[in-house]
Amino acid sequence: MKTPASLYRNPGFWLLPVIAGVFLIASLAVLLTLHNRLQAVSDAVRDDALWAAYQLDRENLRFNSLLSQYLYQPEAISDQEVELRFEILYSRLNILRQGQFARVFGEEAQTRNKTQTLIRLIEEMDSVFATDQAFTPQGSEKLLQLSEQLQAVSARLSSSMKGYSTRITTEARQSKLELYRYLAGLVLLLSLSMGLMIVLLIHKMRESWQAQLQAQEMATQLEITASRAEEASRAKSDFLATMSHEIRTPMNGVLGMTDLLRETPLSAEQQTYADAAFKSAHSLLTLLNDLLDISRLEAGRLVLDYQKTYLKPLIEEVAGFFSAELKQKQLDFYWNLHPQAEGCYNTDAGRLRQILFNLIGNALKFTEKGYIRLDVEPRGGEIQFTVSDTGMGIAEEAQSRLFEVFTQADASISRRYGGTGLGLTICQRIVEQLGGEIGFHSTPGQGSCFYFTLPLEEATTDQGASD
Amino acid sequence: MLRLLLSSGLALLLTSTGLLQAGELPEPQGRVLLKVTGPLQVTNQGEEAHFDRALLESLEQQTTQTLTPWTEEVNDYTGPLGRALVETVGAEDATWMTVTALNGYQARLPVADFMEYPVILALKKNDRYLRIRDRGPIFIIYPFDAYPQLHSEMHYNRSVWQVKAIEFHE
Repeated sequence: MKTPASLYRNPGFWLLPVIAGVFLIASLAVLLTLHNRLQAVSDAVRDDALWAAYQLDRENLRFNSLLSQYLYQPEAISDQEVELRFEILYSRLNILRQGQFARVFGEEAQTRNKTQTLIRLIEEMDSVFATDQAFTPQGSEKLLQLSEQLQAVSARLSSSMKGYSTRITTEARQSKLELYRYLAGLVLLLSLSMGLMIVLLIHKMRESWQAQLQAQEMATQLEITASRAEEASRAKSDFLATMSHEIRTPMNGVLGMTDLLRETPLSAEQQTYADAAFKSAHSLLTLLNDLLDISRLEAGRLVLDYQKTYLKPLIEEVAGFFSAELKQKQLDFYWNLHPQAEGCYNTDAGRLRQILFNLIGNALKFTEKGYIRLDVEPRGGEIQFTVSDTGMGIAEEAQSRLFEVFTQADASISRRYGGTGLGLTICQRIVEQLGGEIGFHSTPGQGSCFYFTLPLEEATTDQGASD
Repeated sequence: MLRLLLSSGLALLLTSTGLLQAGELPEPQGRVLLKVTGPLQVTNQGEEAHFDRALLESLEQQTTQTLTPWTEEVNDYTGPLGRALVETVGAEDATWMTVTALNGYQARLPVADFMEYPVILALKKNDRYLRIRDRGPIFIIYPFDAYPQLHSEMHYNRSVWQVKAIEFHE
């Protein structure tokens, strides 16, 4: 599947929207052109101009007939009537001279010339009225002549306007039709590209939906596998826990009997064998105890035994346990219990002792000269235990896997120093179960420092100390 | 006789103040420019209402500045409001009016046009009385520039010039 970023960089991805955009802009341009056509001199105005030309023709006819009547029998028709007719005819002149219609008449040479002739004739008639000759016989005769000339021109203006108007209308309609055709084509193309985009989009959506479905399925599968593995691991731990217990019982028998055997009178050779058998049995029992612990912890079967505990006697006991070995290796051991941590706490004394045995035992194992030090002090509502030494330290590449099961810093270490590699794992599990945290820092060649915190709860001391 | 004297005196008074009270319409003194017919509440000549220039100028006046399709430039047109005419003759109930021009041209206008827009019966253009050759004496002017929706063939057609008569009807 493509990532979105690579999708945007793909030129094909942009092609369709760009094409659609071009079609859209073209359609808008055509629409704008159509709109501008509507704004230009409209057919209606041209029709109105035609109407005005026709009206002029008609007004002239009326004036002509009235004037003829007036010449025939002047007493039947008043001067005012004649003048009114002429005024109406003259008012038409302004339409030819200014405004929208004037532009229409001026659009073509043929109509323009006729219009100018008309204007000239009417102006001439007006000058007859202005010089008060209109109602003299000669004046009236002249008006009649002019009116007849006017009639000839205005009739032709009407008809040529009509021809011009229809031609323009037809042309305009054809060009508009053409534009509409372009527009229809563009809209069709636009719809097509939009349709294609929609299809692609649906395709993409379906694809991503399927990918999501697959991921979900995979996640479910993974969960099933994980829970199966967990189950298998727990079964193994269960088995180990049970078996270790079963093995320990006869092992205790072997150890006891060997110990008793050593008390009996033996030859020097027999004594050596019996001692070796006892040591081997003891090592094996230690290993078994560690295994039992780890499998219990893994199976979640470790039961904590909380009791009221004073830290001072506990530390003294641990220190006493190691005194012989410390003396043998000529190492110093210091311990320091902060006065504020001297109280009585509710905790599993046996497990706490086990952690300290493990950490101090490790320090002792890997320290050849210098000292080992245990500090106990309160820290942020918890008690921190710190075991530091001046030993060989831990190589940096080994530090990250130190708490893993069966791990020792170096493969050669198990050969040189022995041990199962289970100790730190057990410590970590117990500390975690007690609600604390364990950690360390170490400089290779200068020493290590292991520390753990426990959220120790101060116990009421009304019953005196136990342990 | 006394009544006539009184009413003409009153008319004189009103003319001088420039405003005509509703329900009162004196007789025209000068040449009649406009004849109004139809079902009218107020008349001054039998069933008809006749207006001379003075009477028309005693109605509420307005000046409209606008461009028309028949001119190249913006002009000031002044004359009585169409609405004032309708109210003066009491023709509010009519729906249509037929406007007749000197040459016999007729156009049908809805009375609503006069009520909704400040349409005037223009007597003057740029402070000069319209002559017949200038499309006078009465030119119906819509306020084209103030109401752009009026710029349509329909309203151009309703802008009758050389008006001589208005007939109100259903």
